[in-house]
Amino acid sequence: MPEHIDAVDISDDDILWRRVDQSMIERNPDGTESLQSWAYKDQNHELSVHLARETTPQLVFAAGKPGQVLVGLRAQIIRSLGYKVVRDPEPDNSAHCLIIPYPTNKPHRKAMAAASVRVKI
Amino acid sequence: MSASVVFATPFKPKLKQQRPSQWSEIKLLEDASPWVTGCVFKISEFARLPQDWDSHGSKAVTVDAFKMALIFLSQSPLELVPEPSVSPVPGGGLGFHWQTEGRDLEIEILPDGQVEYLKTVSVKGDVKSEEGLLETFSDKRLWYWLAGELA
Repeated sequence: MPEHIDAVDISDDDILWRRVDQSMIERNPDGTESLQSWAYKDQNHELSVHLARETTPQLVFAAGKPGQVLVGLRAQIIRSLGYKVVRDPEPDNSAHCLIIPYPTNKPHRKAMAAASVRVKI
Repeated sequence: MSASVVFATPFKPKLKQQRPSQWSEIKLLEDASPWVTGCVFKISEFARLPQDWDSHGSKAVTVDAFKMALIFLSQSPLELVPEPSVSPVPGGGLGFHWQTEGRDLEIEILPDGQVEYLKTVSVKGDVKSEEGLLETFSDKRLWYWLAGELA
């Protein structure tokens, strides 16, 4: 099994985007938005994110579904919780990365969700 | 002439065992909190989502999760709480989310019908979480906690 290496060329300040269903975001009475922790849950235990500076919303949405939105999260948040940001380039998408190991811990997923913001397009 | 019939195996008709109760309580939608009808509509819509609805390969919402979500809505004392946000959960589940001042509650119906909760409270930037399995819906402690009446 290959060792997963935390990408050294992705800084803590880099933003990672993830496509999520819009029903996972809700607007609070004070105008802010909240993201639910299951936005960072995945059927195949492979949490896909995209390095924002190397892609565009259009490219990320190209593989998505209608009604999805983009949320952004700083790499530092992921690392501070003990996870790695590992490059996982796809044939048509070099910005694709994985959060490894897969976060099975609910409070960790909640912390990622709480630190995420919707990407205005 | 008399005819006789011989069964290959002895025929011993059994009376059906009496069930403890044939009746269960019916809760009319019109008696529930006003938002419950909307929630039932939403989860019914989510239950019709196809495979890969999240574009990351998720299963469709399972029948077990859908049924348990309806039981959760019918048996919980939801008159105590405001309307939740509802969404499908990757893997085939359903989720309910409430947020009040500094308190956050997620109820996740897993694909196999189990129900988990995650309580998160934030006090002056200090975040504390508690998670567990929700085995009974009639317990009001979770809802009193959400309302800020329990620590």
